[in-house]
Amino acid sequence: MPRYAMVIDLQRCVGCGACSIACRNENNVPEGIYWSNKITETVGVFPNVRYHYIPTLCNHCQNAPCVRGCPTKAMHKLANGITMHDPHKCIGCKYCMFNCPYGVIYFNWGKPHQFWRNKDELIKGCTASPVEETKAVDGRVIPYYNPDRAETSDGIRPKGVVEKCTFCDHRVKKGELPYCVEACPAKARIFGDIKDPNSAVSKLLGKHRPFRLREGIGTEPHVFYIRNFNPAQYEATKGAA
Amino acid sequence: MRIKYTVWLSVLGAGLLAGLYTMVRLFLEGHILFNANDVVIWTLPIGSYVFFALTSSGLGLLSSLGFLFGVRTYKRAGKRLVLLAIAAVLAAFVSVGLELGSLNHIYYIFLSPNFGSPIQIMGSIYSIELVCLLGKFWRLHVNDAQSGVSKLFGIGSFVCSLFAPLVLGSVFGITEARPTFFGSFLPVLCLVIAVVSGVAAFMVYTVIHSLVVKGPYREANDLLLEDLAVKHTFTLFIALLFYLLWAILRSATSLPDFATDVNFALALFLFIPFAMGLVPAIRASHWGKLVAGGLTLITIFKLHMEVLLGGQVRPVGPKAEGLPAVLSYSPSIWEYLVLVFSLAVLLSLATFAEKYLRLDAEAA
Ligand code: SF4
Ligand code: SF4
Repeated sequence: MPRYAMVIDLQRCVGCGACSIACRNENNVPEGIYWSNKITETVGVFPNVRYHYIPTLCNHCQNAPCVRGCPTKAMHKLANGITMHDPHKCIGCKYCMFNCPYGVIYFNWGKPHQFWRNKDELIKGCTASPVEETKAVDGRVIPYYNPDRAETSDGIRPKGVVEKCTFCDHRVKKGELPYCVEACPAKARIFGDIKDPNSAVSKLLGKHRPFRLREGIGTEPHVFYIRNFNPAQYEATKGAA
Repeated sequence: MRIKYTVWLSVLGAGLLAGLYTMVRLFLEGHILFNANDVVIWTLPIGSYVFFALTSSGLGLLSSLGFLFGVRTYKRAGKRLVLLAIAAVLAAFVSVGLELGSLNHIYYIFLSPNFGSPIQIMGSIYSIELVCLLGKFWRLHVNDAQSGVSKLFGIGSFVCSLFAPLVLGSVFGITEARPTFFGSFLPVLCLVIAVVSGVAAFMVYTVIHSLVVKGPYREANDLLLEDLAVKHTFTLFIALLFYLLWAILRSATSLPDFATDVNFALALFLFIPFAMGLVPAIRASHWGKLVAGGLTLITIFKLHMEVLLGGQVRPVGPKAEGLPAVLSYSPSIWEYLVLVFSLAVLLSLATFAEKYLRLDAEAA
């Protein structure tokens, strides 16, 4: 059985956000919820300022606190290492959100995709209403509904349950890459079996010195970051006392 | 008297109706009605749950004094104490039930239990505690505190009342995500708070009961109240010490980002009822007990909210994008109504039981 992991090459990442948009489309993610997100860190004092852009998603931790704390096993591990969520078993206690040290789990506070449930026309007598738009393309709640998502979980998760990235388990099952990996124009995301020494992820981790988020707390995240984008040049100096 | 009673029943009825209406709205619209979000996740209803659950454990422990350990003063109050503990745990269940996003999936707690989860353990212990309390009440109602079955319920309830606050504290305390927000000290603090709130709640209840219902038990009530006032002052002193110790631990954290300010106002509001209890004249008077007990309960509720929110107001990871470093929170009307519903359930049960269940009867 493989153990899936992702490597994110920060030198290649241009911060375009294509991963997040692709994820939203693939997984029918509602507004206000981010399976794929980013941390923007600004460092330095003006005018010597730069920012770091770190794409984030569920880390599919080996030692996942969200799984350990879930009272109904709605949050569980698959044999391939993916941290999966079953919305049917979820009681909406939100303890996984409380427990996740990475802030990547979101709750459906109300009915998802509220915008697309709106019956009002944008411009009266001129444009269609969001509901009509959805109906016109035979979508389920949203016009860009992707039925593939429903192969392993709910296509759209109902109100009252949590949701988060699943490494696109429904695609991985069919031998496809997670959609954020597919969509990244800079090939900054590399996905594969970390147990296979010949996989691209294993080779990269062997070649570079990776880091993981909040490594010290022992969650064993399986999203690794390598390199860093930094075009800055500086004149060699030893500084001054 | 009759008019006052009717007004009281109407107030309770209004509370219950408002709660049922809130339940329907939550079911239809979801928890968007709360002022919670993906950063401040657990809000007033969870604070209310913690308050009622711990108070119930405190009342359960207090009832064990008479039922299990044979302390005379508490034997007479046993039935009322057990009833209040039952009412408080049900009030806690109302709060937490209305906080759950998908209450309709709750049966998975039994079908797919994760016994490693502190929430699962806490839910199990409080459910067993409820069963033991019901059993204890039944034994007291049939005037038997000595048989094997009664002892079994008595021991079960005592053990549950002791462990439930510890497990409840660990729900927060063992989260890796927020190590310095709560810490492993929290379970102990919860146990101390449970005892204080149980004593304070029963003292307030007994004062009001003896003012409203003038029965043949007044003298016995006076003895009980005297003992409760002493216990209240003493347990408050312990709670105050633990609160200060907790504050010191928090302010000594090496992660300044996670350190929350010590709320000296809360320490002061724990100190005032303690100081009141030190003055014999105040301690002996009904109003003194009422004010001191009431102040303790309000402060403890505030303390629960402070602990709860203190661990959540700083966004974690990417959730910090576009948000201030520290978020603020104030409850929505629906969250207040959950609290009102829980309180109405508790008081309705107590009112009903006072009228129909002979709470002053002492078991042999
Ligand atoms: S990143 Fe958070 S949600 Fe994902 S496995 Fe780790 S603890 Fe769970
Ligand atoms: S919200 Fe759902 S998935 Fe998360 S801990 Fe509770 S039951 Fe488990």
